[in-house]
Amino acid sequence: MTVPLKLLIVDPDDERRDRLLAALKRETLIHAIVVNDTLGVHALVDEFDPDMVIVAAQTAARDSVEDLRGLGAAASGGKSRPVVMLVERLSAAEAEDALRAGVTAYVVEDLDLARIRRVMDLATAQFRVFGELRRNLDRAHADLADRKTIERAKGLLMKRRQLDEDAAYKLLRAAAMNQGRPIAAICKELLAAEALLGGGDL
Amino acid sequence: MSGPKRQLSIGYAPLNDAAPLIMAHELGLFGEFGLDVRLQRQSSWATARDLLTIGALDASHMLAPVTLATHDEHGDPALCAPLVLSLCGNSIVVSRPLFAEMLKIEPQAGVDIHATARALAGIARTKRNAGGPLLKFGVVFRQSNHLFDLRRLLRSGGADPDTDLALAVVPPQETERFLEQGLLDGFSAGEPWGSHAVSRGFGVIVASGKDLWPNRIDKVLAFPAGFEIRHPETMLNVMQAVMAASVWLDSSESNRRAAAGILVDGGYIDSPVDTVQRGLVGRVERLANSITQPDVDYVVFHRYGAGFPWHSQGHWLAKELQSSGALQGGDVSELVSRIFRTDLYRKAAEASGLPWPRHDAKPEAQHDQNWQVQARRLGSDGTLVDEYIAMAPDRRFED
Repeated sequence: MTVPLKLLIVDPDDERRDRLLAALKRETLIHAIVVNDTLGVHALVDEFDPDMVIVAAQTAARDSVEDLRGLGAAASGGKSRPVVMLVERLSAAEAEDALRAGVTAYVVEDLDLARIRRVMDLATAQFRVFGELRRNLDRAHADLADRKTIERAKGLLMKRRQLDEDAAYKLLRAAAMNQGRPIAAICKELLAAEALLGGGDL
Repeated sequence: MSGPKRQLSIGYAPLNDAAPLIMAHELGLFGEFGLDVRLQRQSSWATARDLLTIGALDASHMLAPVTLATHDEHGDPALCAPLVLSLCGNSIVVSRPLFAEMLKIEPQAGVDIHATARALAGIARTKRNAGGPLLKFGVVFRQSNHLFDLRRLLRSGGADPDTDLALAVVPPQETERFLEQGLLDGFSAGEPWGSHAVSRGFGVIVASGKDLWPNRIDKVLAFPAGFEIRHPETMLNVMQAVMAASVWLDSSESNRRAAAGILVDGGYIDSPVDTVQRGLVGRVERLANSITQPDVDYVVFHRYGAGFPWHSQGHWLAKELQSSGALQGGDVSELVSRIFRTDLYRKAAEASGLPWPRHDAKPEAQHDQNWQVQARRLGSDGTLVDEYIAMAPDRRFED
């Protein structure tokens, strides 16, 4: 007879955590508990003694989970259950797939491979839906806007001061370094000043 | 592939010592080399390490010891570290109740590093002998100077860190709650987290990395092993841009101050600018509202040959990893020279007109005065110029 799989899910993203939990609920024989940070992990790991810990890759609690490998079980009654990283049980490609989706896992060494795979398939799919961290996405958008600003300012300098592209960029970069300000901020001001001075054709 | 790789993802942890990477981006230095860099915040060192090894990150801000302890399935190094990003810059923090206890034993604790070591070690031993809970500290990761510093501090005070100290890996942003609930007595972490604890009032900085060993390696810029073969020009240019940012950071206090503003305003670090500035300009308050001696070397980015991956520092890190069980015993020379790529540093320095040390190793922890190392630089006329790099005292507190 198969005993329920005890699964601990560590993810600070409430929505993603709830969706994964809902997906897992459709599976029988899974007993899942969710926490959102290291404090939660510490409070639960000995008591719950999970067979598998699923952890969001981009959360600081992952480093704590990595450090707890094998400790929780040993503390709860002496039966030592060595815990390994996902990559030590699944193929490198499968573990990489999960990591790229933003999730990783630690499992007790003797856990059935088919069960690991089933849970990881669900987790990887859920994490993939949520995509990249919003913070990194926001930065990517800001970077793109900055690049356009820098290009326009460079074009303006090339035209007004008869400079080649490299020289124009160097001038802007030197201004950023001298003033201790982002190059994008320097460029924005240059474009604003140019607009005031009536050079609105750029 | 056609042409060199120009689009890169580079990881950083939200810490003060990510400044060389962030400033290389914000000041337009990556752009000057035609590099289109996406900086990606990393919340976990283990994840940054794993993303590097699978090539999902092209480079990353990394704890120096991690590069020595990470290998692939064949046992070969998975990472390389051709450039050091920072020296020191971390703090050891204790809870206010623990600090009060330390002061009862040693009135100079928190002011004199030896008194601090004796007080902490004394308390650690007493707790162990009493058979109750051990003195418990948090670190961000085991393969870190944060842990090595803590172990040295306790050992020098007469305690055995293997038996008298309990450790937990706790992210710095959670230490406040762990300290408040009595789950930790203190922690060791990079800035701004020491200053954060002091300004929030839940902790006291009792030692800095600089107190324990001035100018020892802390973070590196790590690349996946073999990146230098697959993308030699790209790697060289990334290093050149970051080195230029490091030179800029160490050229004036106003630059450090400006960097603190950009790290916070740009959304790279979630702490108040005052907290970040303390560590970056070296005006760290150890106790809330205390007067502090400014120290420009609290964290170092370029001075004293900081960027060079000295094999002698790598040896010491490898030995510490061995003694804490994270690395197998035996000779570490080959391992260190395969990861601490002094040859790649020299190439980047030469291309940037910066001096590079002539020797891979330096005498470690033997200097009470300023000293210098032999260096070379490519002169503007294309000839090699012999010169010296100025070095600062580097005596460890326990020696």
